Amino acid sequence: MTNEPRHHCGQFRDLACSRRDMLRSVSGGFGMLAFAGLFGRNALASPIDADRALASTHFKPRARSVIFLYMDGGPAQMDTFDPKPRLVDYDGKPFPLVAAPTQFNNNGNTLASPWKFRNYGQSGLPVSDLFPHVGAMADELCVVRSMTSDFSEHTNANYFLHTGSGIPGRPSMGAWTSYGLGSENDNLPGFVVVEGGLIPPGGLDCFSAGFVPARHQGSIMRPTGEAITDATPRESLEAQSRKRQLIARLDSQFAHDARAEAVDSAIKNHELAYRMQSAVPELASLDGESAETKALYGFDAPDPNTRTYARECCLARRLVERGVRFVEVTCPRTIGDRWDQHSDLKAGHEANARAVDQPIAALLTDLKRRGLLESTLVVWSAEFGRTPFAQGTDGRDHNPFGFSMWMAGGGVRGGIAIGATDEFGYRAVDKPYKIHDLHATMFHLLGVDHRRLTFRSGGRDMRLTDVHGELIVDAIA
Amino acid sequence: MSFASHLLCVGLAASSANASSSSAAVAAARVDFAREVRPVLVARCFACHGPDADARKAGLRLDTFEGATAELKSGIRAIVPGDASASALLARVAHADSEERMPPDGREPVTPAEIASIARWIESGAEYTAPWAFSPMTQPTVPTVRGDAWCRSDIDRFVLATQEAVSITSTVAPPIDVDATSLMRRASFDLRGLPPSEAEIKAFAADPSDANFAAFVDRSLASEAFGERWGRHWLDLARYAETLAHEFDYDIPSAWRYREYVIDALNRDVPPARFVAEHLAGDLLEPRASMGLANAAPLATAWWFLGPATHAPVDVRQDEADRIAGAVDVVGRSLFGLSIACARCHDHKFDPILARDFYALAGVARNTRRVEGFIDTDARAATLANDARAALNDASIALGVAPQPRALDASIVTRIDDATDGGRAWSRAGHAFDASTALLALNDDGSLALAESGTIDSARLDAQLVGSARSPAFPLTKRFLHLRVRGRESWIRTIIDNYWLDDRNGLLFEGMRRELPAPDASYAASDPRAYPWRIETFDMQRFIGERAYVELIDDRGGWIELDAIMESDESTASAVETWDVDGIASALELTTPLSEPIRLRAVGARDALRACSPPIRALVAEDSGAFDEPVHMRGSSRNYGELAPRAQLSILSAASTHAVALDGSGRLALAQTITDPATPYLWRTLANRVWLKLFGRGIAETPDDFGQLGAAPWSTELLDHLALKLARGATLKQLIREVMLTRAYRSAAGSTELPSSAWQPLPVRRLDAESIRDAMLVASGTLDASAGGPSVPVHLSEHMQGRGRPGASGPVDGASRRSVYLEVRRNFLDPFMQAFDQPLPSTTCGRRHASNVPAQSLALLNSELVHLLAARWGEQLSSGAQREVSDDARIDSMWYAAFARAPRTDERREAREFLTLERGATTDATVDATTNASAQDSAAFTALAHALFCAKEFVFLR
Repeated sequence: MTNEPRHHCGQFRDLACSRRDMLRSVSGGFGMLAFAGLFGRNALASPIDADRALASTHFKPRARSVIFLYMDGGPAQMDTFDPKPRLVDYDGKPFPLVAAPTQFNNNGNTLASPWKFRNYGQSGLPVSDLFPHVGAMADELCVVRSMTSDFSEHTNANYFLHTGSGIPGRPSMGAWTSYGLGSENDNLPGFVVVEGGLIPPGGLDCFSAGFVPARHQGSIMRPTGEAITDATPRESLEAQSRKRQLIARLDSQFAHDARAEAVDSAIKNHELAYRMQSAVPELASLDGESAETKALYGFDAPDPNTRTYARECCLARRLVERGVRFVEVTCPRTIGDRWDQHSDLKAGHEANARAVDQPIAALLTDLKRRGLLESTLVVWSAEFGRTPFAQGTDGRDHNPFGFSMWMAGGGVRGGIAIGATDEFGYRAVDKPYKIHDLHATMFHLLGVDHRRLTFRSGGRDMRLTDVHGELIVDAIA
Repeated sequence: MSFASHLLCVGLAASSANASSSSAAVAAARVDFAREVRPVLVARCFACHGPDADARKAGLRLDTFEGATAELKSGIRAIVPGDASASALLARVAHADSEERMPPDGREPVTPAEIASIARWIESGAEYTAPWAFSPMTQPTVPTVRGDAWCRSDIDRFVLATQEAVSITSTVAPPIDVDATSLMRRASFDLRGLPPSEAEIKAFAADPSDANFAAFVDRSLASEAFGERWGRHWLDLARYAETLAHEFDYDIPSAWRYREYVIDALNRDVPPARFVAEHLAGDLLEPRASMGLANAAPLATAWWFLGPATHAPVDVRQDEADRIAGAVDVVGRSLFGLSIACARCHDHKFDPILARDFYALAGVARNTRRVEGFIDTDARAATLANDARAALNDASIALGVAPQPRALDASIVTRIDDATDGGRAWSRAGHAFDASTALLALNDDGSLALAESGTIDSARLDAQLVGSARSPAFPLTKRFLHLRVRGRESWIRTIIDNYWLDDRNGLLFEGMRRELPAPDASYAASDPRAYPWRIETFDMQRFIGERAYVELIDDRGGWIELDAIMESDESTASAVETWDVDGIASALELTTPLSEPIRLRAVGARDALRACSPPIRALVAEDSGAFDEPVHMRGSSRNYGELAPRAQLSILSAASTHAVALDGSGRLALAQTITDPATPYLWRTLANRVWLKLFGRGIAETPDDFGQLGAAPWSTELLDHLALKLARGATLKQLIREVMLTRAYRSAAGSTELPSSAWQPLPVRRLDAESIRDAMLVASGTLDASAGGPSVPVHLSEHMQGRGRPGASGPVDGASRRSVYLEVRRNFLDPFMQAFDQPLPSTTCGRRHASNVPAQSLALLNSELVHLLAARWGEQLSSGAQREVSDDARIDSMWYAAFARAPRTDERREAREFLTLERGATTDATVDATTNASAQDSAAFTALAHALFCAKEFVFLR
């Protein structure tokens, strides 16, 4: 645990009249631009492009969209992307370094990785046998082996990863992205969470809009069943159409009498809702995908969790194709209960890896062949990693002091590994990076200076990166 | 570089030349510092040249006259009053070279218009006026207005004056009044959150007199619905929720009782000073009986603990600091209207709030602990318990034996608390524990028994009594903590840094909470005195240096007695093991003749106490210590600076009229200072909040931030006029009534071209989430208007997943209760409420968004809730006697229910045609005509009901 301050008040913006203030005055000053809900486009289609805070990006964007593959629970770095042969020497022996407090305080002996690593591709980047499909895409991956977090608890760490702050109530990085850049699709939200069965610990606050307008909050989409809440009519189209005509007549008279922009906007928004009822099913249906594509993702894989995650990844591609800015993909509910292997590491990590390996590789392949990978930043990360020593005998506890994540596509250099942990994979020792640095880099690739995307809340100009954030420069192509 | 050298070549020359070319022009265009200059300085300069000394650059501060005009090391002065051309500030902001220009680093330059304002301000003397929010309230003179005929009260004169002030050249026409039915609908939603009834609308339309309107306002203020409506406003400020978020979203025990308290207090019109003081320190005030409780005031203190919390933090002190920061933020925003939480890491950048102020409040919070208390439902209980104890004490004195101090090998064991004083410093809840040193106890059968002296004991009077007791907080200095205890079926807890969530999930805190088991069966439950003492040892290795306290809980039929708290470096310390009872009880025989009347007194009081109705459990605050908290350097919970005397805020000392005695946590002192009639913050925020809720726009538009980044009021005079009424004792209902009876409240909704410095008539407003749902329940005739009680469990859709998901979903219709009674689970917030902007319960929210998003239309079009309520309304209109009523009459009743008015002729015709179409669409050839007619009627009216729910007029107020 670091002793550095974590809760700073934010950067102090130098614009007396923020864009938001301007929008507020344009729209009549009465909270017109404060929005709750699912969809990214404000029905109040103002001539000044009201749904994005930034009129233009700060510099040329390398990526247009982000797909965040959230590895719920924390895969172990030394079992995935950070090989540590030294652990073999100490396997089963007392851990030679001083261990900081862990969440379960049941620290056992050093535990070598049960998996072998192979070098892949032209780059020779090592990837463990948990990820043969992803390994095959190694030349696309930019692995950061020196990530750190400030928290050892799932929820604090999750809020931190998602919002840059360890407490609930702040905007998620997807909400910030949507707030800053808007959606490129009038009928779809700027931030979508494809939910495979596991809402992360911390709940929907991980996808919250916090203090930015609520329309930027993550819209939950499910890969099966009703894709989005209330988007499916409960009556025949004829019945809905009859009502629609009556409502339109009543509304038109009311709008005439009220002469208020708020009412006019609500009417437009009602019409938009009708259109969305048809846009959402088109988006969510994967029937039109070719047999080859379905097979690539693993729609027919033997493991049902692979099949679920395959649909999620395919949906993620469809979303970015249609202009959604930020897609987060959550893990399916596997037997091992996400990546959080406090015990039975081998079976649990294998089940989790089996669920996501093929679909992730397919997503990268599919994006690439459609020309989308260069404009889509794919980020693979958990809230923290795991300890090199055992919890009990066959598990690993939480470890925020050093862990691995990777990026691919959208302006990052492939086939490299940045930073390093110590010889046991315990603490980041070379080029340690923080979550804020990941956020800053992500924004940079989207063309946004993280210091200049702010929102005033409670008398402070808040930022995703708080007062922190250094670019992971080696990652940028 | 030389500042002077630049003065000759900067762009400001033009503007200052203009300004100084004619002193008359300067005078005519006098600059308003607060409006035109300070905001520029705040936004552009204060981050580096403001109140925060640590962040200050070049030793220059521009937030005070003294700082701005002082000669700097370089020999120049930023501001030379009366001489713009000599003021380096102007040269720097207008510099042509971006390397030299301020603000630096390529930030956008100060605009020419802003520079011109600053220049004129300097020319006219550079007078600093104190920021309005930090200035004392002043009684404003009621303005004389040209349109006095329009005014009904002084409030109207203040309001109109702002309009007349900005339209000197043209006569601005005061706004016209809204029509009677719209006024009724507006007032009804504003006061009760519910639509007016058809009878109310018709009665008022028939006689829309002032007297009738006042009578309606009075009736509404007196209704239960008032508290349900305005209570919800307050809950927004309190970040009210019933769970803790984080991983498992654990319940906040009995959180709903706080909601109950708020509604009750508002309905009883508890004076605002008392209401706020109860929030801060209700456990320390004179009791106030209400809600069937001997004292309702402590319920308010649950407010301190309504924030989120995580289980098993690895760094427990940081966790405490984070929770406290959340509470301080709520204190700052809701009671001061200031972002005091900004000063957690450094002095405030823009406002005169010091880091010390943050820690003065954090210290209060850190000495305040969260307790699941016991509150009497029988007002006699406390007296009876006291009587019984007094009798035991009298009997004890008659024994004539004094307790003896006991020996302890201090080289091995440190005594933290040996309770020899009967635990006087301990805090207690319920009546089981007392602070008595009596040597006598009462047996179950009413006989007397000799007791250990100077212990803290829940069975002295009656083993059946429930309660809890907590030691003062103490620092942990050694690895092992030992408690010498005896008892059965009760709990011992050691609480570290006020971390209490181990009661739901142990992990790192496993074993800090222990149930005291019954010893073997040979000990009769009825003879506590015969129980053996035992040592309970806690390993505090990870917590040395932290602050802890011990809690004893007897809430499940057992009892517990504690003799001593000790600590040592060894897990088994001989001094602890051999620590013996004081010997008095074993040496004495109960032979001293005791007065039978004393015993009977004790037994009588105890038996009467047993007959009292049991106490309720509720979350309350309690003082735990009296430490001052140090400033945490840069917000780090491990790096300390100077001590910040608790409750002593620099922004309060100047304003409050008298020093208050500091006791315990300082909550009481804080309450007294904040509610002092001379302290402006609370009164201004409250007055502004009332105005905001009635007019849709505050007098100051940022109700939770009166600081320099917030919006200045459009009339400080009106704000102080109202705030002073509250400070001088007006209640909330009185203020609301006065505002509602103004002409301003009656004006038609609309917009004007007036600048934001003038009062604007009411906007057309969208109803809030609760009102929309409640109005649908009322229209459908199914509202269950019963008040209070535990919340209705949230309805869980399949999209609401995740850890902590309740096992069962609540009913779709929320049991038809008003929305304020729907459960608020942080990780499972109601999507309908969310769509319509019920705020996230993360911190104070004084102004709700009124968003406009498709999710709202989708919820109205397709949600299960809306369809269900439409069906119920349709069912009502098509069953029983209703079937005999004409379509037109039924349509009329629907219009009244939905829009508070009769339909126009064309609307009636369209509705009729709609019903005909719908009936046609539901013809079923397989059933007989009667069945068909019934089904058609039901379907047609259901469809019409749904259409009306979706109509904009349903959700907007004019």
